[in-house]
Parts: sequence; structure tokens; C-alpha cells
Amino acid sequence: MEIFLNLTDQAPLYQQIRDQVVVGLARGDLNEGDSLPATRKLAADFGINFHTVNKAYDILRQEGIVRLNRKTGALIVLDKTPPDFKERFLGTAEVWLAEAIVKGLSPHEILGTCKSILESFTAPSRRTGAGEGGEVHD
Amino acid sequence: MTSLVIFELIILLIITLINAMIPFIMPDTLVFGVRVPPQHVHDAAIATAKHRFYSRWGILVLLQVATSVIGINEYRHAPEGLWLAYLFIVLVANYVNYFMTRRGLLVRKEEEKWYAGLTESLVADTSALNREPMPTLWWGLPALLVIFFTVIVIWRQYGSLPNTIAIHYGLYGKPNAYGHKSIWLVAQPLWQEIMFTSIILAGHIYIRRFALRLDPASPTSSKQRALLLRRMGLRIMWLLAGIINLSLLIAYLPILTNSSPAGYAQTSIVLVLIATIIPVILFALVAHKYRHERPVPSETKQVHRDDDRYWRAGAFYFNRDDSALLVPKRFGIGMTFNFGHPVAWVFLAIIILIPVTVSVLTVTTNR
Repeated sequence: MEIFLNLTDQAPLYQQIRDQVVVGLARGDLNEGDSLPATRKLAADFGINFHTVNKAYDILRQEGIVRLNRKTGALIVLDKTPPDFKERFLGTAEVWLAEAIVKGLSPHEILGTCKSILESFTAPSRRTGAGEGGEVHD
Repeated sequence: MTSLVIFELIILLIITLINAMIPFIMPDTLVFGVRVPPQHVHDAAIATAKHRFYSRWGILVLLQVATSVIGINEYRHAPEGLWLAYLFIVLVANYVNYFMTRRGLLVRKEEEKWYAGLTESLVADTSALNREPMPTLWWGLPALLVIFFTVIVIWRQYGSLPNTIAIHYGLYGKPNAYGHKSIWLVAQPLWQEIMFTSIILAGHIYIRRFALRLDPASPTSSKQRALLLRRMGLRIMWLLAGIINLSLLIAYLPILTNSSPAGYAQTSIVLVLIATIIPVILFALVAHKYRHERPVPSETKQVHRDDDRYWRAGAFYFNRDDSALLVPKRFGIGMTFNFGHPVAWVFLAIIILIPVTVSVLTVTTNR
């Protein structure tokens, strides 16, 4: 999977790496059991400091998405979803959707965007306890 | 020895010719070491830069041929130092031509704001090297066979060598240093062969760890190009190792057989020439074929980071925020150190210290 870093984006580089790994998983570009390159290798391929990649991997580890290994790098392991995840997700989604409304996007437009994004996520839901996966309805 | 001088001049001319190939083997987006966004690869400024580069290069070739002819006729018995100075001047002149061209292009790029409105980005492929096949270690067999043969020659010859042997021959083929026979001294070609082969072996083993720099505007084609050149480069390095090992053995045969060096040095140089020119031409042809990145859609704003500022004098990479120790060279073939990485300076010190120590040891142990 290719990870792109936008150097003019306000989001820090480690955040961009973390976000794209998550999106890659949802899209099926990455799967459980896949390995990500070792910290120094990925940093060298980008041409950035390895602490940046380290930070991204550490966040993914805390989120239960990767398991770190000194020799093999990072292994995608999707840990069981924490019980409070759904609640936290709803909180984030509410703010994120409110932002779209405040900025003048119509509910129809927002729903359309959400639908097309969800449709691009081909990977079936692997999580237990949160989200039922399946088809997307308007 | 005039023939040796002629050989040196031929090598110099080849270096100049290789210099002229640089614009042909580099990707369209990296012209004379200047990062060019895909939207500007057909700019008039680039054509002008190439024109100027080749005009100066043509003058250099003419000057080189003229001075070489004069040199062979008038100064063929001049001190060796004079020829070395000449070699140095030609190398510097070629570099200055590259540097001036680069500088001119950088000014135009700055004036015309080539990066305005574009998004500077970086890209990495998380699976790029793990799944890509790389050449096997069997490519090292010729180099190993020569090492094996060198051991046999040294083993057979050692007993028959006198106690004092010539250990170095000057440019004109006269011995200029002698030493007491010792295994350290007699086995010099073997030590050098082992050192050279070990470096290539280390490169082969760690090849997947080397930084793979891709272009965000064309990640797929830049990856294909980089991997193709990497595989080819590794094979060429192994063949080069075999031929250089052989040339080392041949160059040291006068010492090992305690005979006149006539012919040996020349044969050795011819071998190195063949070993260098043929792979360089092959490599250049492949690099040339794949230098055009996939056409970039006009709406693409995501382009490779403008990294000109990290290349000091257009040749030395210095970036403290880059974790890579070795990065692809700015003008094409091979890798170079990131001098912003502290370990690079350690390696540089080792590279300088090894030949110095060997020379000092050779001189002190034989006085």
C-alpha cells in the first residue's frame, strides 16, 4: 500500500501516517497479519526522521491496530474493540457532522459523501462488539 | 611508458563521455540535479540548460583531445605528478560544467516559481521491497572463484620468492618501493579482493534496507524504474567485483612472480576499463528507456517535495531530518551518504583510514 504525506497539510506527518493505515485497513489495502516496514525503513523511504514514524506506530499500537516488534517492524493485529469505542466514535462523528452543517453543506450532500466513502471500504467489518457492518443504506 | 599514459588519457575521455550521458539517464523530473515538477518538464529553460551544458562539454572534449595530443608528444616523460594534476583538472572541469548548468536552472526555477500552486508530498510503499524478487547470491560466484584462484597462486609462489621484493611500481613501470617478504605483503591482492567483495556482499544482504525514493506524481512507474535499476545495479556490481578481483590478481602478478611488470599493468587497466564501460553503458540504456515517468494527469497537484536545498553543491546530500544513511545519488547511478547522518562521518573516516593505515603499515613494516 502506498502512503502519501502532504507536506503542506496542517496535520502532522505522524497523524497522516496513522490515518492512512486506518483507511488502508478499511479499504482492504491492508489486512490483519500484514506487516508494515520497520520504523527506520519507512522513514528512509519517505526521507523523514524515524521518530515521526515511531510516533505513528506507537499511536497505532495504543489503538490496538498493530503489534510492534524490534526485528520485524509492525504487524497488523486488530485487537478486540474496546467497549467504549462506539460512544467515543459517536461523539467524534457528531462534532464532525456539525462542522459540515455549520460550513453550509446540506444533509443530503453529507449523506451522499458518507455513502460513497463507506462504499469504498470493501473490507468486511472485523470488529466484534461494535458496528454490524453489512450494506450501506440511505 | 607512453602506452600507460595513453591508457590514462583514454580513461579520462571515457569519464568525459559518461558525463555527457547524465541528462539521458536521469528521470524527466530530475534535470542536472534540479527537481522539476511534472508540469514543467517541457519548459524552454530545460532545453536551454541542456544546450549550454553540451556546448561547454564540446569545448571540454576539444580541449582534452588537444592537450592529450600535446601531452603525449611533448610531456610523455614528465613526472607522474603532472599527469595526476592533469587528471584532477579534467575531473574538476567536468564537475564545474554540471554545477554551472544546475545553477542556471535553479535560478530560472526560482524566478518562474515552478512550485507555485503545487502540493509538495512524499510517498512510500509499505510492501515495495518485501515482495519484489532480488538477484541471488550466485552472482557472487565469479568474484569468489578469483579469490580462490588468488589463494592458490599465493600459496604456490610464496616459497620461491626472494626475501626482498618489489612492492610498488610507478606509472612508468619502474619499481619504486621494496619490502621484506611477509604474508601480509605478498597476499596484498587477496586482502584487497576480500575487502572489495565483502563490501558488495554487505550491499547485497542489506539491499532491501536501502531507501527506495518514489515520486508521488507517479509512484508506480517510479517504483518499477527504481527496482529495475536496483536489480540491474546489483548484478553489475557482482560482475564488476569478479573482473576487478581478476585485474587485482593480474596487477600483482609481477610481485607474485618476481618478474618485470611489462604488460601486466596494461592488461589490468584494460580489464577494469571493460568492467566499467560495458556495465555503465548497459545501465545507462536501461535508465534511459525508463526515464519518462507515466504521464501525469493535468489536475494532479501532488508532486515530489522540492529537495534541491538538501543537495549541497548539487552532489552532497545533507539532511538531518532524514533517517536514511544512504540515499540514491542525485545524478543517477548508485548510492551516496547522507552527511546529515552522524554515522556517515564514521564511515567516511573508516574509508579514509583503511588505505592510509594499509600504506603506513606497508611502509613501516618493510623499512
